[in-house]
Amino acid sequence: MDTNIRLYNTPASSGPAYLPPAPVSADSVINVSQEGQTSAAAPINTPAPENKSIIPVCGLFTLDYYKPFFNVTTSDVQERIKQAFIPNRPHFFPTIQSNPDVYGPFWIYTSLIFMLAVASNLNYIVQKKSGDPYNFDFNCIGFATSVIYSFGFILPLILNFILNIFGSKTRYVEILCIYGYSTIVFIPAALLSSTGWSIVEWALLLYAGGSSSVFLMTNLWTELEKYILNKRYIIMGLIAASQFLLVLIIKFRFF
Amino acid sequence: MADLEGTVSLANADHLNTVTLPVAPPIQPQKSIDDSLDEPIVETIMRDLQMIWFKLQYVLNPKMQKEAGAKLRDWDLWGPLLICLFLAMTLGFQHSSSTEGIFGTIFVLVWLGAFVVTLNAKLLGSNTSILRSVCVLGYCIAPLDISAVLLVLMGKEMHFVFRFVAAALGYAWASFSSISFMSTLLPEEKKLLGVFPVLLFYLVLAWFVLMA
Repeated sequence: MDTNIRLYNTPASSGPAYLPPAPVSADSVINVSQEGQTSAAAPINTPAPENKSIIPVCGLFTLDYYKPFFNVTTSDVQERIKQAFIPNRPHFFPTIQSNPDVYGPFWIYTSLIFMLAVASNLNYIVQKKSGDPYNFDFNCIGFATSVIYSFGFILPLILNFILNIFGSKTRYVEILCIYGYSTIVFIPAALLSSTGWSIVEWALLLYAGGSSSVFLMTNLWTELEKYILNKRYIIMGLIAASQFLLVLIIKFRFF
Repeated sequence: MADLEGTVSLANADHLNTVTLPVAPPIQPQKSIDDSLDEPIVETIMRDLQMIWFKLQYVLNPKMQKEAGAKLRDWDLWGPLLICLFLAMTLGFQHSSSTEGIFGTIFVLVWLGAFVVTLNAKLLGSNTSILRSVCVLGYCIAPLDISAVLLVLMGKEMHFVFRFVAAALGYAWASFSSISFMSTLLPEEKKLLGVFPVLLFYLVLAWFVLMA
């Protein structure tokens, strides 16, 4: 047998087993299906077999859509948290650009909500005189939940929107990741603020606000450098203002 | 085209007729649908209560957890519901002014929290079933029920340290039971990521038990 033989490995389910030989060229194309039977195949220029995978109508409601954002290991998250406590080094953003995660931000916000409730309660216990009734304010949890989750998820959306308008190619998930990890400074600050002295509370919360602002600005510096001075200051101002707004809300509602 | 020809010989041919597969012993003899339609309601309820009691024992008793986790595979949500209701009522009746608020908060917290923790495990890559995990997490709240009852019996005049110890013991027991389940769901490098939300969940509930 001296004919030119081209072998195609096609899945068994695609195409009929028998096809009349098509007038293509002098070379005969032999289709080898997975059962091992050879048959005269379709000509080369037929379209590829249809993709049998089901594409969901709206991927947003499947779990698999969100799985790539949780593709971190324990040591990854620990490393990112450690980097978030040091605000003046810009190593964080390049680290996460390849693999931003939503696990860190979400659970940091949730822990912060709980820590605020605990610290607020402890603060009340420490500050009350001995004759006052003991009262657990359950409403502060609802308030904390709405405030922290809106700050945490909507602010990055706004910032990403502004950055994209100014020409950056950042994604929402990356900005969310930076914001989430920057909030971790608030957790020890809130816990230590439960001691009851006003000056300590102010100092700790202002430090937390400042540290998270500096962290955000340092890590977004590579993006911000591309803009002219005016736009840069607008963005930096917005970041700082939002963090200090958070500090004020926390101080006046919870402590 | 040459054909393949030859003979294949099997080595232990005498064992061909006996095949042993490991089979888990049946947990309870399940009645067929026809039988259970005719039985008195007391029997149905008693059977369900027995299953709940069995799972509760399994979750609460650390020694029993060494056995196969297959017994937890047939999940039910009655047990967690009863446990959650008991906890919410115990905490709610201590504050007669805001019972609805506390009851609602606990209820939402338990179910939403269990669901979010399970979702977290699934997103990290585990392929457990959601309701089975919610079931186990719900059953593991039972030690906190016991703590809540202890705190009610202790009364408000008891020193804070004793109340703290009671709540802390309940928290440790609940966490220990659920960690041994949760750590089977995820691979080694993500284990702590899955376990931390569980610890946070029970910490929130223990805090409620202590403070209310």
